[in-house]
Amino acid sequence: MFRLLLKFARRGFLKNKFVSGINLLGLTIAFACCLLVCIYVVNETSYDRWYSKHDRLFRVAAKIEMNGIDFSSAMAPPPLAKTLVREIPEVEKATRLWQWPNISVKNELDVDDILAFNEKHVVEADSNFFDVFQFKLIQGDTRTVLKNPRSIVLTRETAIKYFGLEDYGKGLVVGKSLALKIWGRYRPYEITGICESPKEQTHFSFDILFASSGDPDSNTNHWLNNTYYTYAMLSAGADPKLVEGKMGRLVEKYINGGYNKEFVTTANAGQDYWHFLLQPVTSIHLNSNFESELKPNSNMRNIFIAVGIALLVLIVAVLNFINLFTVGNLGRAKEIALRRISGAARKNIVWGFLFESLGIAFMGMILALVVSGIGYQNLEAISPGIKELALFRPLTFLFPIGLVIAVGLGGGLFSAIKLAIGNDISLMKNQAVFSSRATARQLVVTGQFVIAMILISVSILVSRQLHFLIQKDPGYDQEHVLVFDAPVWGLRQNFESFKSELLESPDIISVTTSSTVPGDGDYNTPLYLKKPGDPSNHMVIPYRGSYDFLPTIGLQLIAGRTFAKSYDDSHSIMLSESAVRSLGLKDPVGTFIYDSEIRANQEQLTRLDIIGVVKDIHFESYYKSIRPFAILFDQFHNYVSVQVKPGQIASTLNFIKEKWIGSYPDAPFSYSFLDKKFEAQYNREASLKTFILLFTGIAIFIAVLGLFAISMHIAGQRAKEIGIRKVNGAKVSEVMAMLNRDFVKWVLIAFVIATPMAYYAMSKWLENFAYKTNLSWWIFALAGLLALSIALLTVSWQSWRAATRNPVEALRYE
Amino acid sequence: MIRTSNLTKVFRTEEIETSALDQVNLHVQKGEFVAIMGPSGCGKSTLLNIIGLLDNPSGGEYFFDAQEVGHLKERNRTQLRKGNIGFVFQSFNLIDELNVYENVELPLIYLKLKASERKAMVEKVLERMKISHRRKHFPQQLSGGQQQRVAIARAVVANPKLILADEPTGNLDSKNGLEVMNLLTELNREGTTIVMVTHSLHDSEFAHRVVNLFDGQIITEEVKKQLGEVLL
Repeated sequence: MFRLLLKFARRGFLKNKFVSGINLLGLTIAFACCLLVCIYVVNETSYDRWYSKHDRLFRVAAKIEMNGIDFSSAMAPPPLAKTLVREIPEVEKATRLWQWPNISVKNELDVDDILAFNEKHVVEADSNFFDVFQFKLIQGDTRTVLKNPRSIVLTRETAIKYFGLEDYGKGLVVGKSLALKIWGRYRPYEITGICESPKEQTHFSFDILFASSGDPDSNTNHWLNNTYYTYAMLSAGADPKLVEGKMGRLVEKYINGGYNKEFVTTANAGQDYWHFLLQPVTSIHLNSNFESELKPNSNMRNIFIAVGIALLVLIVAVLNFINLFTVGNLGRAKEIALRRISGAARKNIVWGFLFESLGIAFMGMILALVVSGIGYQNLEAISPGIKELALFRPLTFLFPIGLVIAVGLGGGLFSAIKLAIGNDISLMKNQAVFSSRATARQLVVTGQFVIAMILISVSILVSRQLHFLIQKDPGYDQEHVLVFDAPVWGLRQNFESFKSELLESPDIISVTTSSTVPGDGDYNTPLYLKKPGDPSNHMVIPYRGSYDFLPTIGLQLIAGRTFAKSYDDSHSIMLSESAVRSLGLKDPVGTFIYDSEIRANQEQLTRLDIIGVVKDIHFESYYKSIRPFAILFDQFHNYVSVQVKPGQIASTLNFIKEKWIGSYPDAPFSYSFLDKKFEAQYNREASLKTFILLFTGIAIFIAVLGLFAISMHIAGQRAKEIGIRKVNGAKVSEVMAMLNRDFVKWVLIAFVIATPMAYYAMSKWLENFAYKTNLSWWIFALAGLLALSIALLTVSWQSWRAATRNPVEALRYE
Repeated sequence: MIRTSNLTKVFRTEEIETSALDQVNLHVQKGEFVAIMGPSGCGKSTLLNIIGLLDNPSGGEYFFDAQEVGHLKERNRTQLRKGNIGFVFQSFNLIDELNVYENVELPLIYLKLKASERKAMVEKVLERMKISHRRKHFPQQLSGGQQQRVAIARAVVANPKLILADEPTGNLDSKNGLEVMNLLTELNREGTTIVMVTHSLHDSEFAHRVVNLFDGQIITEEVKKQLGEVLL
């Protein structure tokens, strides 16, 4: 029986090669999309699940709101970790991380072949790091590797990078030293261990671990700055909510006093609150979006969008499948009738069809597995780590099998039942089983166009929003500004002479240093400002910059002056418009304000003279509204930015490099451009756009395949009618209009259904942005028009063929 | 009204070349009723299709109302056909999805007549064909004779000069067949030129003239009655 079924299925497939081929192609593409999205989802949800006690491991983040402004942070105050273990019994262990900005590192201490790199992933960790995060130590003792100050642990790749494969292979790296340029000069650090590189599916990454005991700031008892990523391992069975409640008491005990504020410990509109939050480590990658995350995280929304779009593509393909499978089997009514007359039960007929549709679905899946097996590594840009993902797990087996069964049965059932329950006589005459204007078919095509239109309008909107984000004038000169990777505090010694050498070039407009540049994070140490005679604290985001900071970055001064060498600006401050508003100041230039700091549990006020007011700009991404900021004077902070005359970048780069090597012969020369740094914030939207455009294209392609086959079928079915109409005087254009009219009607109905759905989905998505493009009516109109054009082009090809055929051919053999 | 000179039609497939019509010279006068007879495959229907401007000849000339139309483009053929030529087929060729009224109305729609005009013309012809009471019915709901009456109604509704009938009684019983032939005769009597392809000797008796076709060539012509002679 099985062999017989197989034989019939094969013949059924081959009988309508064209329709079967289109069907198979559509299914293959849709299955491949689903498989790829499945792999993507598996990868995105596998973050931080590989520590043995991941279900008990939490990161402590601080949700803070002050004067209505959000100052939340992924980091917590330095003393929190020890306090948690000491005062909350449910906290079994706690450890902290801090990510250093770029550090120049070289290996000159132990080898002849000197190598120097700017290391972006130097992470400071407490000595119990390996106790909490189970990274495998290849060499060294987890209990002691990070104990002593001046000890570092390298990943295997880093060890090989600096000491070569041979030394690494012989186990000679441990015990050697690397020189890290910290606080202005190179200092030797002993390598005490080598560990496996963290998997991509970890919410942080490191190349070098740096013992926190070597950083004096790690031992401060300062509760007001959130500077350490703090992780708490709860004891088995402990309730995180209970622990969060207990952490509220720490706010009351340690933080309220420091601020002279009564923070409430739950989010409450209109009140200042400070709430320590336990984030399960496994949820950080998809659910955490604080400033200064250790790695750019993804979010659940992207997962939903990906799954949603893959489902839509699948629905389009399944609808196609149902339609084409049915159409392909129309001519078999007589065969079915003969089978039934010869004794086949309805059950046999139904199973015959189901077997055939399952067969097509199965073939589609095999091809899709091949396609996605080749293609999934290309998703690395959207979902890092996907390349190394272990695919052989139950889900990756069950998912394709499930899909084949669902689609195969779902797709075949309609056709099977229609043909199996039909009346034998009418089947014999091939009548009435499927009329030429079957409603089901209309529904299917309309459904496909609803989906196509939703996807088209979403594509247009996402593209527009991305364009808006990148193109919107952020208030500063984005182009022609070069930013060195090496931090200024590492370049201290020759900086002044280096800077004046650069400025000798007529093509270099200005050079400045600053704590941050637009598009870069690190806003977790707010400034607490106090107006004279006002006890309340006002938080603002501090940026630190030196001379020429404003013109180089392109900030506009709207009152007062900027930093100048003719003044002592060590106690000067410039405020942004929104900071002036938030502090409630009027004509602030020339007045002063206090910077409030807590030292040894005593508030210390430092007077700052307000010298200028600057226009608000976007230092942070457009997800966020502009926050109030202040600029303080600091000559040696993170970034050196060089503004070059337009058109002179290429030639000036060589000049800059020459001067760099002259001043810092042992430091690597590497840089990036400000506009690229800024754009990088929108990488996620850019990948989303690529993803949506691709899937929209795929969905449209599948729908077009189906529409093409359907229109061909309909034109074939109506051949006689077309012939009669032509004989009675219908012109080619009139026949085409008649055939196209139906499709236009379906597209119009689809438009009416799709527009509100797309509108709803898109306004939801736009809610994520503080600054967003308009949801204009023309987006929907354009989507409708595009869908209509695509439908008309597809259908017209068949209509044209049908309309120009000699009517005699259709009528001759009646 | 119709004159062909050395008309040929060749059908080509990838391998075979079939000559369906070979040097056909036919003349049909205005008001004449001509029957074309011959065995299956002799080219009767091909000739009818060319006369009806559904197809172009491969060679020779075809004059319709003194105008050379053998090499017209599809669009011009359609234009000329509209309102001038009506067709009646053996298998009726009604559109299943349209009811009687709509089927008959079809040529008038393509003539772009106003709805009110169309209505008057359709009603008139339905009355005449005695199928008014069936106007809302669909073809499947009618007998063969009724279907052919609808087809004739459609063929004549626009008052064409020429009616081309391809075995109009082939699918009908003798009673209904006779009825159809009587209708055609009546139309001819009123001045409509009729060219009919038939197998039936009985039907051919209704014509003024019978043209016998064999292997694409006219072999004999016999005049049954003179034009103007009252038929039957």
